[in-house]
Amino acid sequence: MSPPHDAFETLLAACLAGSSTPAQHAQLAAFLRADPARRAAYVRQMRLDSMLRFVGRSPALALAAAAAPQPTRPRWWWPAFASAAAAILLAAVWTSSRTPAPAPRLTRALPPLVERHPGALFGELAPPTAEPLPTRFLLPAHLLVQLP
Amino acid sequence: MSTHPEHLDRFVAHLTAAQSALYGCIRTLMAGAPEAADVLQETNRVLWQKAADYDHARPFLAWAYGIARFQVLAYRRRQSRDRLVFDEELVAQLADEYERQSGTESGELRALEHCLQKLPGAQRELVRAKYERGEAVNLIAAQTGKPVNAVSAALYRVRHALADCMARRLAPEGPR
Repeated sequence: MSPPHDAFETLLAACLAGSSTPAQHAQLAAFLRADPARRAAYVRQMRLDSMLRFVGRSPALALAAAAAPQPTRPRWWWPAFASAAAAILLAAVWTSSRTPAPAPRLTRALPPLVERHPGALFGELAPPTAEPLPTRFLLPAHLLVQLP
Repeated sequence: MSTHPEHLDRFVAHLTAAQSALYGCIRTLMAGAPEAADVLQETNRVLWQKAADYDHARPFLAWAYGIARFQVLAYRRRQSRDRLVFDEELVAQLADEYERQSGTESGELRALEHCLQKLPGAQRELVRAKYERGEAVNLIAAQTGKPVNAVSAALYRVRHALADCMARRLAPEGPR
């Protein structure tokens, strides 16, 4: 594993860290204009950095953390936890036996309109419908991308 | 031109799968500027507007990269001269290089996830601080009592190690 060992790599590291000064940015641009190999190295690092930002918002890193050995802790609290859980369960059963049956729900589940009609994103492609379009369904969930 | 539901379904699938690649392309052309997320949104909007024109026989990513590059140039023109942006010629050179390096994004992401799990604890914690919790290098430096340059260099080394690991993993004869 090599540390940044020349001026270009130091500038690249600063750019990726978001700490470049205007002078460093200009130097980096000059390196990139002059040398295709450095352009390739810059693109490689930028692509990886962007992938890491993407993956960082997914459970992948959490999985990586789970794979790491965790220190074991004493489990003295288990009996207390079990007793508390049992008490809560009994209280819930007792309460539900005294509660009248709930009134039937008046609302019905709204259909996921956008899943059926992805064009609803901008309205103009949505098919005419007698149902009012609920605002919270106007954006298709699969287009909402979690960005870093 | 097609607004057929099947055409749009396939288009949405392409667009969704391309998000990571498009984000990487835009960040590369913008030298990692935080406004890359805004330009990605604008690119998505333009792509969606052109959905009916898209021909499924053409490679989606190449078409989308072209639109992303145009949006980066539009962003660049809106910025004042003192902002950290590359000139048009360099943007074009970097866009060509990005497209040349683009592989199968899903395969690369799988390789990256595998390689992340192989990192030693301290390096993995550094990656989690930067990319999972989104902490700035300055903050990590303050928390760890190290100079900012040292943290930047440590992150550089981790990315280097991950790139090597991914290259081995993605090599045709590499481990699967």
